[in-house]
Amino acid sequence: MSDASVLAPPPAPQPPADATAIMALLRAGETGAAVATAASARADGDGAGVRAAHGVALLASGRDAEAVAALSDAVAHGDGSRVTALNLALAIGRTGDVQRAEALIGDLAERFPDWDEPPLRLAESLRGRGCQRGAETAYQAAIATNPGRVEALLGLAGLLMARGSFTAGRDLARRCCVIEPRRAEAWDALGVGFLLAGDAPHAEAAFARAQDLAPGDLKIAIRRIEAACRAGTAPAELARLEVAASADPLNVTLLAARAALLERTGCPEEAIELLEAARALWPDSADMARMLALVLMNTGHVHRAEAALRRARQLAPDDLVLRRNHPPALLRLQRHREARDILQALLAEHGETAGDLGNLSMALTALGLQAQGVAAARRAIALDPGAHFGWRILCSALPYDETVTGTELSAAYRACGTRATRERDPSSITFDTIDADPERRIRVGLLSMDLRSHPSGWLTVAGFEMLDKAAFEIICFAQPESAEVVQRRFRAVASEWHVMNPSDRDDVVRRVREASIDVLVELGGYGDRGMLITCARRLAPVQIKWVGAQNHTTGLDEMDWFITDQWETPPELEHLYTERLLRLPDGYVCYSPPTYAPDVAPLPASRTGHMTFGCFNNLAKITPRALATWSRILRRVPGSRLIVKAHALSDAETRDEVHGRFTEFGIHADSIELRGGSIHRTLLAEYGDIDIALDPFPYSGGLTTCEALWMGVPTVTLPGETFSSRHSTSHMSNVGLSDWVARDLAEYEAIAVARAADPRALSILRAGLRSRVRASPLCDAPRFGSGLGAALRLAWRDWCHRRGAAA
Amino acid sequence: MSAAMQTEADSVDADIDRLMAQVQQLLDGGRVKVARPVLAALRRIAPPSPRLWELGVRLLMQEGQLDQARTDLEEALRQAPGAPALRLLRADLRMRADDVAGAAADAAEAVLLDQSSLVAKATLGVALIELGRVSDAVACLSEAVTADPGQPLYRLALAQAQERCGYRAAAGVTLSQGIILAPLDMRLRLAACLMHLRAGAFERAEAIAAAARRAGVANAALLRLHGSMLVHFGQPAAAENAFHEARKLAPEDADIARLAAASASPGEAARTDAAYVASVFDDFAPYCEAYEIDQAYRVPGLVRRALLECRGAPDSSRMVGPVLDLGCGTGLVGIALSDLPFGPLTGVDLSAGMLAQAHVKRIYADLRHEDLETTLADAARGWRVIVAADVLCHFGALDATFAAVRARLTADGVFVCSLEEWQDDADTAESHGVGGGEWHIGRTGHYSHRQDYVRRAAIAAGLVPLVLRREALRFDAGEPVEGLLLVCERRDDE
Repeated sequence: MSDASVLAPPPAPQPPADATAIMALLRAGETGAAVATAASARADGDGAGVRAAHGVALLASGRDAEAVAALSDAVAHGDGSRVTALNLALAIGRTGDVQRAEALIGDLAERFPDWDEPPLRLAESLRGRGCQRGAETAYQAAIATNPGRVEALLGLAGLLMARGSFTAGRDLARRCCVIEPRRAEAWDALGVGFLLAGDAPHAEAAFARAQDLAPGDLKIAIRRIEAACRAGTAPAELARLEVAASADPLNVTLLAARAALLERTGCPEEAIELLEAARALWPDSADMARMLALVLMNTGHVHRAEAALRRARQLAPDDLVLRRNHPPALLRLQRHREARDILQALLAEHGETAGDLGNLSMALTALGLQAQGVAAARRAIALDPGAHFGWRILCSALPYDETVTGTELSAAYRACGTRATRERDPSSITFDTIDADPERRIRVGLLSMDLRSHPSGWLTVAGFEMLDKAAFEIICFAQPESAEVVQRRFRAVASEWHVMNPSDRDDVVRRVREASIDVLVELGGYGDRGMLITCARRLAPVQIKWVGAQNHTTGLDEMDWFITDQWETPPELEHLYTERLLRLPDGYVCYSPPTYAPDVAPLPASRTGHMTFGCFNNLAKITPRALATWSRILRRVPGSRLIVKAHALSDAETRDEVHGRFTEFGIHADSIELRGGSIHRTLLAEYGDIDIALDPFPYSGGLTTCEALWMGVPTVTLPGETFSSRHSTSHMSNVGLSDWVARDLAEYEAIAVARAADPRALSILRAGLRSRVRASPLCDAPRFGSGLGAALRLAWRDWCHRRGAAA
Repeated sequence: MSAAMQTEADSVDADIDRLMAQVQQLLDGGRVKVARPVLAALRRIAPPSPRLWELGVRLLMQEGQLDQARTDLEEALRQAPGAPALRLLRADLRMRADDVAGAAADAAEAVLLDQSSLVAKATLGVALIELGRVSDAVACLSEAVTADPGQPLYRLALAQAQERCGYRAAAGVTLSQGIILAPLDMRLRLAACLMHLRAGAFERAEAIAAAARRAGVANAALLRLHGSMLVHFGQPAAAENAFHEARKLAPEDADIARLAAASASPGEAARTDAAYVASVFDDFAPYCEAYEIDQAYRVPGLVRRALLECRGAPDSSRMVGPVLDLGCGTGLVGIALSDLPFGPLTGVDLSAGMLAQAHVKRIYADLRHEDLETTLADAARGWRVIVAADVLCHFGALDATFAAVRARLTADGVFVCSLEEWQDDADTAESHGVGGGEWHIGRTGHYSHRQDYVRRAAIAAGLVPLVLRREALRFDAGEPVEGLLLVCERRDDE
């Protein structure tokens, strides 16, 4: 029940003077003063009128239980007025005893059949708890009693529109406009009626009238924008808002409305600026904080979004949308433990939703609780087994699970791919207009929101830079433009840069198809903000999966090729892939070391006198089996220590949890150092503390292993069947260190122990490792670019050939 | 979400001080679009005040509305003439309009009004540099640096003033201390590097660039400079690496891409990279002349004397020309010839900054921003006089350049140039490789040449050396820097 509902009409005729004063204060909005005055009046000795007024004041202050007591007291002292009885019923309802409240109101309705207030209050109560039909009946009763009761008419109109009776609802709203033409809610309801009925111009006119009457009402302003966008008058509305805002700079609603319109019309950065101004002017507005938080989130300004979400949640703690948006922001900021805590509370309070379970799965996996992450993903699948969402989550969690086999992972991807394919357009796409000349310049599309300082960027950009410009044209479908350095490298090689919104899949499909791409390289996967799922709808004649959550096969029928190498996908594992394999001649990626990487430091063991192992991979990759193995290695190498560094370990509670896991394997906390996240250069410099890197399994280090090599640190690795388990094998083999690749756990352990026993050899290897890596295929961009170009050409020729054969 | 929002003024948080501080913060961060609506609201709820005017003018300036900013600022100063912040804003505006004297007056007034304001002192210092009052600037900026040693901008200005005063060592200390205090500030490192390059201290410049790379704070400009230095020092592999790193940071820079590509297949570094020369001298152009005068730079005078010796005093009624001044810089050769009937003068230089200084002198009929090789390749032009004063020190092999000069000289034409001489000193053992013992890159980073080679190259190109003699080109710390003066004419039989 809304606040307005507690302010029933003033009590019985001829109220005592004190009661009149209390009610006057309430009407003036001075609820605190009203309560104080009433309490004082009652202390002086009072009658039923003052008790009733006190009850109303308490009700208005949200002190519902006290209101029930005061109003009951008034009735007990002889206040027999129907208003007091109704207020008592409302107060009882507010304390949670809705059924009793509704019974009391129903009783009043029967006793006073000519009074429209009880059926109106009953209707609102029923509507509040979702009894739409009952609410409709009660509203109709109120209208029958008083055909001009606008609240009842508007309430009924809203219900009718909600169940699709737009015309009937709109007619009721129109009646309200006639009865009370200066009531903004009436025009607003009329606008909603028109909008729902598809009449955007009339809706816009109705909202305009409503906004004139309530210029500060943000909801009306936002609905007017919606109507303007649908009516095709968005530019005019934007101009109007600009003029209005300069005439009335104190009207924050105008700023917020302009922001909303700018966001709708594809100018989110300008929207953010206006919303930040609005927030500066009105820092305590939950609406402003909410709008800003959501726009920031949608535009990928995660740090700012998280701060805004936190602020908005402080201002509106019960807002479920804000609560649900907070964990994704925290996940992107690698604050997984906080995300997990919020999600677990949400699930406990509001039941299971696929979205919350999906986020929980990601949080748990990222915290190194892989089995729990997989379980949460399976619960999400159970909610809707036919949807691809839960399967996508599972495919993001399962590669980290230490029990998964290649076949199981392929099956999960296949299940995901099958469900994604159901989204395919009914009309088939033939690409008839594309020129099937196998030797012509190829338009290569890159589809990813991570063409930046991210594994997808660091491991691919040098290859694209080296493609022959006469033979390949690069078109990026990616994140918003920024000055970020790797993104600039992509922009420098791209002839077009299309900013994408991955949550709008229809738009992704339409725009990529319109760009007439010949070969589309997908670099995002099924993960957060990935657009792989849209490839199921066929965006280009040739579709290739490469880097970017490239954990394993995609399982998509429409994914034609998969870029790999001889180490990632040896012949005996080919059957695990639904795609055809494009094996590059050396490694499947080309590492582009950052300019700011520090020099390689001397072997730390020469300084510390003991061997230091290290793992700088995400906590998600650190499985119980890896922990057990590392613990055995630590025991076998006397005095040795292990440094684990991960963003998630910035959180003290997470560090405690991880320490606990090591303790379970008999490793004392003194042998383990857990380090949190840092800036990238610092992370690289910290390899100066590591003698030997230990690769996690089954999810191997990718970029992390490249970085370790660049910083002079070799990695012991154990490949498995899945693609993601074999990254380090590829990298180590490409720099000529395949003797660091183990065949089984025992050998992994043995290699680590044996290498640790020969610090001199380690020192020599370390001293020359950067030069070795620089000269190796892993960093040889021209050589890699040549191989990549040949692979892309092969895929294109294949399509042209098939097209020719089909013709 | 609440059903309705307030719309009247009471919906806006009326904490004026907070909003003022917020606008200032937004403007400091360049967030003009956010600041604008907040300032508009502030103007409705806050009484007029110098601070509000200041914020308004700053907003206009950041939006590029300089005329409106000027108008508003004049009005504000009429009402609050004693507001130092407004004075400083006007100093800034006047500086942008090249009214350096006016800017200095405003900055001086701001210093008087608020003697604790370091910004005022620094602004005054910068204005004084522009006015050529470099000693006063050093005094002013020293105060700012002493009070706030970690502020890179104060140090950059102080180092500039010190360099212009000839206190190169002091400038080096100012910058190196700044690098220690603000190790991530790229401007200090770049300024230090360029300063040492201008002073010919190539090894120190290279050391600064290398240190920046090790510290992980190198940017594309510094890496590019470093690459050019390494090429120059005959370290092609290291140079290639530097250019590739620079390319990662400035992928859109075609020039760096070209250097990176070229460095992948290094040949002999027979001349200094043109863009590198331009970048070293561009920033320094306004002070170059004073610096050269401080060094008792003699080459323009030598050119004048040589021309008079070879051609005699020309008839003042008949112009000898046209004259091509290769690497004209700020136009000192033009000045040296300005009272003689040599002309019309065409100046060519790689540095736009240097050409801008030459332009101010109004001596040259034409000034071209291009490589001298481009100019000499223009077969449509012939020149009676070609001068190359202090520019062939950026070239190793001279054969092609001399041949191009020969091709552009008219039949009665004369060519005058200065060179740095490779004598038998400690450098001798360093590099016989690239220049085959004929020329090499010395510690100053300049090419120097054997006298015999210069003569042979000139003759081989079809020139007749009339004069080839040792001359002191300049004085460095009181010691003469020896070089060569070459005067040739075109051989008739060619």
